[in-house]
Amino acid sequence: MINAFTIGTSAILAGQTALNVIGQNIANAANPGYHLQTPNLVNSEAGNATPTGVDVASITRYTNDPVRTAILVANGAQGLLNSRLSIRQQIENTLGSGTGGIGDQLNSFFNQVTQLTTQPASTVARQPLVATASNLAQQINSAAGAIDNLRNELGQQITSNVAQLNTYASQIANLNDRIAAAEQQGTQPNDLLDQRDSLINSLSQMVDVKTVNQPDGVVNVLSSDAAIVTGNFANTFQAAPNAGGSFVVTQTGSTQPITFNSGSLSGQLQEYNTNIPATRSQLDNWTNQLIGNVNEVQATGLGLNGPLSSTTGTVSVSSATVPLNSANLPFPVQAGQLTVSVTDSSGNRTNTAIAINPATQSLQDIATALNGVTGLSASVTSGNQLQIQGQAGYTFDFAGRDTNPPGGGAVANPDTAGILSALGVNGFFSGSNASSIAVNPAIVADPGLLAGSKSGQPGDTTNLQKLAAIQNQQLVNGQTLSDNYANQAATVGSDVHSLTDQQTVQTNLVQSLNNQEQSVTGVDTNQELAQLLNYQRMIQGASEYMSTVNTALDSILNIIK
Amino acid sequence: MNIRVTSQMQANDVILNMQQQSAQLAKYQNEVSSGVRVSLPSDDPAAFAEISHVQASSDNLAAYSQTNNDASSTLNSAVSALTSVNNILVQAKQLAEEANNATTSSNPTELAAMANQVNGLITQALSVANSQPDGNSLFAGSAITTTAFSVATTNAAGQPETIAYNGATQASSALIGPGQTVNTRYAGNAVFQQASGDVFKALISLRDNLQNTTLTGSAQNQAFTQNLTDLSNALSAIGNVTAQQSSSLATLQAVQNLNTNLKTTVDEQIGALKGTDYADATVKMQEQQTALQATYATAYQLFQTGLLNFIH
Repeated sequence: MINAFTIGTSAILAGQTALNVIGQNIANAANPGYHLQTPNLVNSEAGNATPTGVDVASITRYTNDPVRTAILVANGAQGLLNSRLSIRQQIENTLGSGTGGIGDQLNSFFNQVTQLTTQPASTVARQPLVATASNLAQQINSAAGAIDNLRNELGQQITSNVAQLNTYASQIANLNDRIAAAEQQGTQPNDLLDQRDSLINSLSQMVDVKTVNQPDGVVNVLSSDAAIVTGNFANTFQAAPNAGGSFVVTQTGSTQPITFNSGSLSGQLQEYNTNIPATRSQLDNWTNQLIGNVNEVQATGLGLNGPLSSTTGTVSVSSATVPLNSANLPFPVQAGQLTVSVTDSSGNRTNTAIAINPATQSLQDIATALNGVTGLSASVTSGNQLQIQGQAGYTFDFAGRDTNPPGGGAVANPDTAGILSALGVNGFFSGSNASSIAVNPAIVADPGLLAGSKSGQPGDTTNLQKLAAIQNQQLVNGQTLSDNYANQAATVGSDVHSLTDQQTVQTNLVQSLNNQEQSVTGVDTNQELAQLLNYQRMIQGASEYMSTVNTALDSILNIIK
Repeated sequence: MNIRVTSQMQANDVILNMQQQSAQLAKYQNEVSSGVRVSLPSDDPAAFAEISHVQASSDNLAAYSQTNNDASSTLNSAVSALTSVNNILVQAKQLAEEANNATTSSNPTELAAMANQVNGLITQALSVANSQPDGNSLFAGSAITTTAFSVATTNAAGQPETIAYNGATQASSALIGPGQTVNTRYAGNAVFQQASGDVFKALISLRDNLQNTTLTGSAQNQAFTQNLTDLSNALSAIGNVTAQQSSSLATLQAVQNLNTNLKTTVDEQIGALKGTDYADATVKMQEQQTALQATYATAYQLFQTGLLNFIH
């Protein structure tokens, strides 16, 4: 009979424990890292077939390990796509491809050159052309600047993400330690397990992660190239730019670079080290072609003011005494010849051809050769640029006009070597790449210097026609400048487009995997409420049972009275 | 299909569906309200490259159309200048014919008056040849800022004796298409001082003969006849240039028509590539809207029902 109270009490105790578990489940129903727990009831026996009630033998924490492994992999892929998509989208915006963007300005520049052929002597008509060119240069500068800024910010993000990675690793190692201790004591550290799973989940969005379960409840976390957490030991990582400007992640104490195969960090490293520099160098190459070709036409023409009395190249060589081929020139020079025309104060003009061989001649050699031409002085400036001056009463040009009095006729190509544009002599643009392009300040100050003619006559539009023709030349990868620029933007657009599609697929996959895991580990509130009713009835029943037993005992005791 | 469905799964599904449908809905809404289907390269990378290419062609055509108009206007000015010169020469010819008849040729007063008229014609011709309707010389070739002709020498009476050409021998040309140019401002010496017929020489010679009181009889008759020949030659020389310029004008007109047609085609192409297909976009927008509404409705329904409603 006394057993009856033990049984009743055990039922009430078990019921209370179960209510606690249900309460915990309901409270965490919306907690994504929570794993469903259920009490395992066993009927307790004293061993002599006498019933002693019910016990909560354990509390089961539901897990779905195969799906969890798949989620970790899917998280990595999603992290990679998310980070790359966000960066590519920003680059798409920086390329300013829409109306009024770089492509539009480029077309507008060449179209204004075309239109200038009907009023070539008008300085008023030249001003908007120069303004458009300046605008184009500035837009290219700001696109390059925006890409550089984006890359710098990305560098900072990589550094802070590596720090976050280290934090996660040390937190996981710490949890491993505590879980092992708890399991040794025979307790169930379900909440710690949830915390650890949640951290590993976050980590898997950042780098590729594989988990290996150890017998003592410890989980080792590995990436493809390195162990991140082993037992209660967390490796630390650091990211720093190498000599080539690429970000390299290494494990503390090692110089071996670590590659992550997926995750946001891997996407960021891929963009920082490969994709952004590729986009930037395409833009640089394109700008370089624009500058080189426009400058060559400008340098071999004549402005409204006629021949020059002095000019200084805008391009510096690394050394004035090494051959041009080894002098780090941003523009190509081929072997050929440069024809310089020198006009004296009476209008007599002589042409002198100077042989150029970039394999043997240095900038100093070129200056010396020019200096030898009657009426010219040429030298190398302290900034390693070519400076040419007409001696008193002399002016010079590279338009290749016939001599005066007429002699051998006009020279069709006065600069077969491309030396003028390579050295930035009398160029329309200064600079050599996307961040340095600018309109020659002298032309901004006096748009009349824009070389529209070959003959020096204000109405001669021959050089303007050559300038306008650049628009239709296939200068970059067999494409015109305009088409190539659109293509650069379209390539980034295509990346964004395909990453968006992949991201949608991956997001749905992660969602589906999460649902699959949730179907085992998630809390169904309705199920919990049903269980709640179940245990409510159990406690009510046990109480009623004890009350009845008590009444029965009272009746028995009444016999004694 | 999962056997167990938890409220968290339902919530996550609803959230994801709402996000994806809202994003699609916003995309179509933007297409419909802006009228532009491709505003960023990623909207349609292949179409974007094509649009940029076609847009560049359209802008090019617009520029060529502009130069074409300018070139036409310059050539029209030139043709009307040449028509004036033509009229001057016709007048001079009439004067020469009149002078050549017996009664007039023997009347020095009348000849002197006619010489005065021819002097006026010379001044007119010079002024027409030097005309600068847009501030630049029509007949100085590429030396458009130079006055084309000047009086080099004068006779004792201070009247023009020889006319010098100060312009360039190269014509000024305008770009009217890729690599396609048209000469707009001709070298004046190739117009008014052609070997086959020199306008100024013909007029000056007529004036000189009219003023020459020593000329009489057959010599005078011969001189006037020569003047008539010279004037006719000058007329046909001017006529040739006028024909050339008129032909250029016709070419310009043809090119302009072609450009206009091309631009229309190209702009239609841009519209088709870039513009919103309203029927398509509106239907898709409606679809997304319906789907989103369904998501809202199911979400509301789902979270309405639960065991909790029945436990009291």
